[in-house]
Amino acid sequence: MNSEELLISPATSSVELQLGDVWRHRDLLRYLTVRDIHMAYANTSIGLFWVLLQPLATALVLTLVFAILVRVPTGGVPYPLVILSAYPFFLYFNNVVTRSANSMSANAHLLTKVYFPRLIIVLVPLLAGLIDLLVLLAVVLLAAPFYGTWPALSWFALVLPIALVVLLALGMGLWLSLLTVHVRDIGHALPLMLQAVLYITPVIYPIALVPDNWRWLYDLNPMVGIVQTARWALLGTGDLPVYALTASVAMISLILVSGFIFFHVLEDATSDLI
Amino acid sequence: MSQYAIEVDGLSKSYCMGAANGVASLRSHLVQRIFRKEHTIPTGQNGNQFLALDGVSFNVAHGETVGIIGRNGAGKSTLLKILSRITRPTAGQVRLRGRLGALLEVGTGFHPELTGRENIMLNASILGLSRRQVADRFDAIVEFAEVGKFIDMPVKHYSSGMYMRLAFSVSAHLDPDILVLDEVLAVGDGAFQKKCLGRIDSVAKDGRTVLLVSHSLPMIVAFCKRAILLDKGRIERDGTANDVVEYYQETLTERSDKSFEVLHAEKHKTDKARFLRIRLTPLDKSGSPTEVLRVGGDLEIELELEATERINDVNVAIIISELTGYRVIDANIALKDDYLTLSPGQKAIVRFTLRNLLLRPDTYRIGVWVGKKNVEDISIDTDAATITVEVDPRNI
Repeated sequence: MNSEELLISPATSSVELQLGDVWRHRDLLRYLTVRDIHMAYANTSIGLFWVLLQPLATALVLTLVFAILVRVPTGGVPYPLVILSAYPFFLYFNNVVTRSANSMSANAHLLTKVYFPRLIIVLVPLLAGLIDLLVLLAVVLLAAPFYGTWPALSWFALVLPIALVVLLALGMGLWLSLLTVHVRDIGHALPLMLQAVLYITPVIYPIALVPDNWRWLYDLNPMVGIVQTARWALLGTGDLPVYALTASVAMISLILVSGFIFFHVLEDATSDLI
Repeated sequence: MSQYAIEVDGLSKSYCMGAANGVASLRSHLVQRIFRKEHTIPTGQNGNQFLALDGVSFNVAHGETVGIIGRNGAGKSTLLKILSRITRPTAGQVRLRGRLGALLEVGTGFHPELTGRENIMLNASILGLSRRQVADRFDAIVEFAEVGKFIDMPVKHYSSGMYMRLAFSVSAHLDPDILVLDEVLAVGDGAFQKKCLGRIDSVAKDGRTVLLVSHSLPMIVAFCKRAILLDKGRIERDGTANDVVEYYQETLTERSDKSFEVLHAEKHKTDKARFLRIRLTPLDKSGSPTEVLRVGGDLEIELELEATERINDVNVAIIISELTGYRVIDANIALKDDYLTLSPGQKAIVRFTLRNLLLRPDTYRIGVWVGKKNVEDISIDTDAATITVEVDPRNI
């Protein structure tokens, strides 16, 4: 018999991150992530193809509209690359935030039957989505030479926007996963908010279209720094967007820290509501 | 070892009823947590707080097997949920010494698209085993479940028996120091059930601490030395399993006589007729009344009703449903083409005798209905009484 001792008491008031607890449950995190990935493509004969089709089709349509009909000025960069360098990040953000917002009710059958750190539920979409993001980025990198952009050392810097978008999605997930349980309206408002994010981020248009005197405000959207850093790394044009990147890191830190606190505060009040 | 395996001290849990979610409750939670306000135990005067557990204290020694019994809503599930850390108590605390494995459901997290092998991994990790621990037990789990070569097939293709066997098998190999079980034992066919019970018995004999919640009193007596009876969130009795079960059975029969003597008027649809009384009598093979209803036993249900005006073609029905509301038995006197004609003030007694009731051990709700031939509802009460079907001890 081991001497492991556990005290169960009413909610503690200190903020502990429970990271140790998450680490102890890492196998669960792994299996849930594998299950998620498996589920997404079970019974589809061309599983991976679907990961690519949606963003590539979107890129194609947007290229038709913006490059051929509207003729958005892109400063010499082929429009497909403008969108392909940014859209994977938005898509990841969009999918992960949507899924973590619903994660608590989607996993209600687990949460009401067995204990594990609830944080795991938020981490699963984050990791599962990462596969899609990496596959998509690999395709973009393969396609880049066809548009005249050759592999460069700066491609390694893509790690930065990837890390940032994961942390941002985590912060949003921490906020939204529990918030949607308490305030169901959020679930309905979310698609709208995500759509808005698409339009206030230079995904389908180049950032040059944004008036310079509004950039200080515009760049506060943490997705701007992510997307612009990705473009800088991939296309190798212009300079590293220092202001946007700094603003992005600051905003992400804010969302992440407040998200952790919020999650911790509300976690205990939640399992009774699901 | 002098220390207890489980120390429960002044444990209370209150639930908010009504405003279960929304901005208001969110705000109150936040205020409560951020300003570190003491959690107060509401006295229930405001009507929307419900005390599921109310100051429960008990200790369980290492190696003790304890049964928790009580009516639905007595607080059994809440106690288990707190012990297994699914929810936190409102007040009081629990100290656990040793790894606790809780089994509130068989097959938690099983996914139909995954293969048996993948589900074992997933389910075991949900239940708290590391990859290493699962690997050590894997062969034993597969062997115990008797699924053999189907292990690499998605479980959606399994028969329900195979599915349950696999699910139980994972649970049976958890090997925690403290095992908490909630009525999960009615799985599979007779032979497998026996195997499951044997497994639990060996866990208990192994010197591990077992906490078993069940409606099946014979099972409690068979497995537990000690039992705790919960009633309305408090401990009503704590003692040897035999004593507590006996006491519980007495109060159970007493209560069902009293509380169902007169049915609530507000449940009536019309004033034309109303139910006065329902009495449930389990019968033994010779047709004389006995204490408990066992699987395959006979049950007599006697209803008394009174008409306030003249009604022709009166049909009377009973509905037996699971606690989830799923109907399992519907019987009415029209089946025998037998209708009543009632005159004002006239009382009628209708007696149903259900023979060889093959309901699985569980608690069922009994509803009563009176209406006119074919169409019109006169009076209905879907919760007139409850009856618990016990395992036949000769079959364990």
